[in-house]
Amino acid sequence: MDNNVNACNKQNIEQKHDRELFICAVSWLDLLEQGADLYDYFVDHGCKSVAIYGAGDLGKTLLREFRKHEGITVSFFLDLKGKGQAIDGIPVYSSYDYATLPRVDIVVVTAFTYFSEISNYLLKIRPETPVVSLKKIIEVRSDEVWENEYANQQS
Amino acid sequence: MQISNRDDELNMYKAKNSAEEVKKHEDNCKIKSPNFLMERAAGDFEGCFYYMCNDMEICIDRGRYVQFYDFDYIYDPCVKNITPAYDLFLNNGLLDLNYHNDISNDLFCQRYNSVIDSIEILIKRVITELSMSNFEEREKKKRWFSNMLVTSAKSFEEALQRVLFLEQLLWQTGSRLVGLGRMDCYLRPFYYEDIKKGISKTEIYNEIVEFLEEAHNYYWYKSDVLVGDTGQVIILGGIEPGGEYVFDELSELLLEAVKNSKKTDPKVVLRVSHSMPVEVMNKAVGCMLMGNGSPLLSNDDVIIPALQQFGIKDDAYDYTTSACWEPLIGGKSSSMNNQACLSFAKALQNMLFEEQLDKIKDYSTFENKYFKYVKREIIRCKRLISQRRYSRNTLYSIFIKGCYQKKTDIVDGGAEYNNVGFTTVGIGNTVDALLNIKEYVFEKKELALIDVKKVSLYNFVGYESLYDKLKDRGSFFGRDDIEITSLTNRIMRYVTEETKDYSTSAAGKLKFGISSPSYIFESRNCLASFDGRKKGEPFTVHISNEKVDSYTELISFAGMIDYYENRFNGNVLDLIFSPSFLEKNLEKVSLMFLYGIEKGFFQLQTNVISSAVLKAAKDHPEEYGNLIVRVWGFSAYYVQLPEEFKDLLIKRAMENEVVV
Repeated sequence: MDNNVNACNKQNIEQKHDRELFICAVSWLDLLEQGADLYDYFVDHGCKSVAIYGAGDLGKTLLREFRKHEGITVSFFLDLKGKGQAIDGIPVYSSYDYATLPRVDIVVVTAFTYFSEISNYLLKIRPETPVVSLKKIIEVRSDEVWENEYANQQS
Repeated sequence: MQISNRDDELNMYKAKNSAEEVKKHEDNCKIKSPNFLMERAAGDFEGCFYYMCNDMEICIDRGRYVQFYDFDYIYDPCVKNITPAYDLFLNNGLLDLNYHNDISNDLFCQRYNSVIDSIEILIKRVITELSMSNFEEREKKKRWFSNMLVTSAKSFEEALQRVLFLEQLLWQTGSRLVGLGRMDCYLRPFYYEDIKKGISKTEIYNEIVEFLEEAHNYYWYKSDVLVGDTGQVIILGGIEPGGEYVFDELSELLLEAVKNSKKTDPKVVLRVSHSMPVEVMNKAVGCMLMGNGSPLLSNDDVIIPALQQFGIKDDAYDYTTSACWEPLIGGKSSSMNNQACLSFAKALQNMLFEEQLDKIKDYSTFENKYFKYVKREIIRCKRLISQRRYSRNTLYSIFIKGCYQKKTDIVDGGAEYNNVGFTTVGIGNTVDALLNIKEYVFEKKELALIDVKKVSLYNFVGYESLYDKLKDRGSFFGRDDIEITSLTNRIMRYVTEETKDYSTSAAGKLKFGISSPSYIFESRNCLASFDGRKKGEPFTVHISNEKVDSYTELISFAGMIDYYENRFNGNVLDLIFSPSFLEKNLEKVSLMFLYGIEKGFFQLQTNVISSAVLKAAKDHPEEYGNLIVRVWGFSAYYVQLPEEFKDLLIKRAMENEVVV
């Protein structure tokens, strides 16, 4: 019975993750189609160096966004399983090594279904470094772009 | 269907929302009127309405009035929290409201007339049903319903029947939180006509009492978020354009009837003014002493100028409120006043967790950055509001002034006023947190901003002595201090700055207030805040502070807040009195409220509760089934509330008793 409950919970989490991923991806694409991206968020927050948590597809896509602009460096990736690899020249470290890595201005978490657990872990080690979900950044930028568009329509 | 006790009502409320119950009604409807379901699927309001009027069950009993619902005809929820123009239906026959010209080219007019035709069908069915009954007063009721078609109401009792019938139709067709409006105004001509005819005040009082009982029926069905939150609010009193305060015999009878009803709803909002007689305020406080949460006091001296500054001219004198307290022009407004909720506390939390805090060197920079996060929440609200869409509601369009002339549905901007409101929550906690941050971080330099973040992150673990200090000093919010009121006003004016130029698709403007139903809902996911609030604990309730030494200080504070421009969507001073205190100080409290009107509070509501009784009721609910309390902007049976609402009331009552 416990195994069934666990399996059910796991399935629910996976479904939630898939749903959130889909919504995120659509919102991000929508932003790009309107000629905007996520870069301004980091500029607004005075970020010069960024770490990305999650070396999967979302993390790689985010890296490509940063690469379109100058002024912000992606210092490293963090991943539960990524030790020793590199993505496009950016090293991937295990999240267990976070305490020993150089300080960055912000950590962006792409594995947002588990954001709470990940951010609690990272903030325990370095409470001064903001840890923000990619999902939130997309939402914030999406709202900002909507606001600009709305203001233009009104004028 | 007879509901015999509180448990039945609670069970019916729970059942209303259960998938099983909904399916049961759908299955019944498939048998009774498959066409209704078909039209509902097609989104055709008029088609649905036609089949409902033709097929719904009519149940008439021996009561004074005729009111019935058929829950097998479930509509999708639509417009809510507004008040129809009852006077249109009281002063005209239904058929007078038709378009009488050629409407062959106007779809809205065709829909409009078709809904009136359907109401006519229903009325005739009621008359037939009455004819077949053997009730004593059937001829009188048949006359009432016949009159509904062709002429105005002919008596006070008949007018009340029309109010019930219109209300019933609106509730039946998916509208929620249907207000009862300025009953002492639109019923006034009928009242004085009856008095002239020799009908006694006692008889009229009895008519009102039975009306209130009838309106209270099915309150489990009418309840929105929580049991008791029905929105059936009666507005009494108020100042006229000439400045005269009006509260007459009818107003008195209505207030008296609500006072003696000992039910949670309908409830009363009493419009007050510095020019009101002391005797009227004494009556209001006497009603509060009964503990049923009525009346909420609404200060015309502040609200009317605020509405006029917003652009509502003479109609401002005719204001009513939404389900809780948000002012609108009843009968002319499509203002849905609770379309989003902005959390000031969430904005602060976001800031602490997204900013590089070591780069913020002074409080001024901190506060300016905080406003950036408030702006983010404002944008979120605006976007949410802009995306809201409602299905057309031709029935409401008939009974909201403006739609007929503009030939436009209420959801498309047909009403005379189409402004939209949102609420805000957590301003009290945020003001406290900001002032604490200013003191501890930037003035005394005892802590760094990272400590403020850690307090949130770790829920005060590791900061226990700080927690005790913050709890012991109590809240700033509500204290009569220029720095506190300045900060509060700064935050509110910032929101105005960011919302004043927004225009809805129906050319309506945005308005907001600092009262909200969401002080528990929004707090659940909010981390600990630097005002001594732990993770998940409720936010401050409206404008309140149980640790302030005197009620007059709170009243002064409320009077120093700037409610103008678009900041008038409900700003309630929420006071708690123990029953013994209020009983011993009734006249003094009355004078204090009059003082408060002069000082300029916006609105005021009371909870007259004792922590001992609340605790006993929590432990032995079966003995306290009729105990009524005030919750955000409505009254509820205490034992029917979720536990966190009960606990919050106990906490506030205890804090109040310590100080008093």
